[in-house]
Amino acid sequence: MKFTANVPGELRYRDLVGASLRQVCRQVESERAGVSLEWRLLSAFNEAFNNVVEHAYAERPGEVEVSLTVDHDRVVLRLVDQGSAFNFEAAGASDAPPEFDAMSEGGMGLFIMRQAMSEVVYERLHNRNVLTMMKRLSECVRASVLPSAPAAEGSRC
Amino acid sequence: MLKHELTEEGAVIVLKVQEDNLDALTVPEARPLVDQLVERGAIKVVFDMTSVKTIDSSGVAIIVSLFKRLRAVGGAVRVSGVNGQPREIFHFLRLDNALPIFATVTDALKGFGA
Repeated sequence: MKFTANVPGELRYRDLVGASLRQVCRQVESERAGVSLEWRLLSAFNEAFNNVVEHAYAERPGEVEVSLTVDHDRVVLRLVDQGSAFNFEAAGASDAPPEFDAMSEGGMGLFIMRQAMSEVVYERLHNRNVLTMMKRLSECVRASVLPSAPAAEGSRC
Repeated sequence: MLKHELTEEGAVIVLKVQEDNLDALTVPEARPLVDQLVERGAIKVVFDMTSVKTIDSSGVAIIVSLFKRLRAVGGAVRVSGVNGQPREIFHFLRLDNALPIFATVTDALKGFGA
């Protein structure tokens, strides 16, 4: 299954694409017992789209290409834009959460993406920003359906 | 302006956000409201998120900003009604340790001067 969309890099289009991604997530969840994907995928998508609008296209607007590919054991979400290059490392590509007293939106956004997804890879290819985020569906199984695991509120993925 | 309700419970101001999303789209509308609260000085605020279904880093940043700015002038913020996706984001960012979070407004008001 693959979903693709090209939209202007403006915030008001984020929720339009997000609604479609939500539908894909719900289909994945309906086809795979116990898998819960929606919250994490949408959280990562929102942060990634915000970054494109606020950084890549801060000075010159452009389009964002969004694709979501569903394989049997993983989903891959990709955002491509033609805006300014993104300094991935400087933005806080860390496994540690930002310190509370030094919290900034930029560092938080990237951290949320990395927490929500299994892998986050940024590339600058042919003057385009390509952000590829992968989530293993095996990491999206609700605790309540795992053997020997207690049902836990908030375990939704 | 952000859809919200402001009420006073004794010495505490309760700010109930009445939006589904506290994010990059709605936060610019929330900034004037936060500025107005900070201008009132050393006040106590319960920031209620019961209606908020989705938050992003912009939404988190406005809450953290309110907390820090009021703390700096001798005020205080408690957060209530953090559920679902916002709860997970708070957990990712360890905010469930850094901020005083309560299940409900009623819980947040207890012992807060209301």
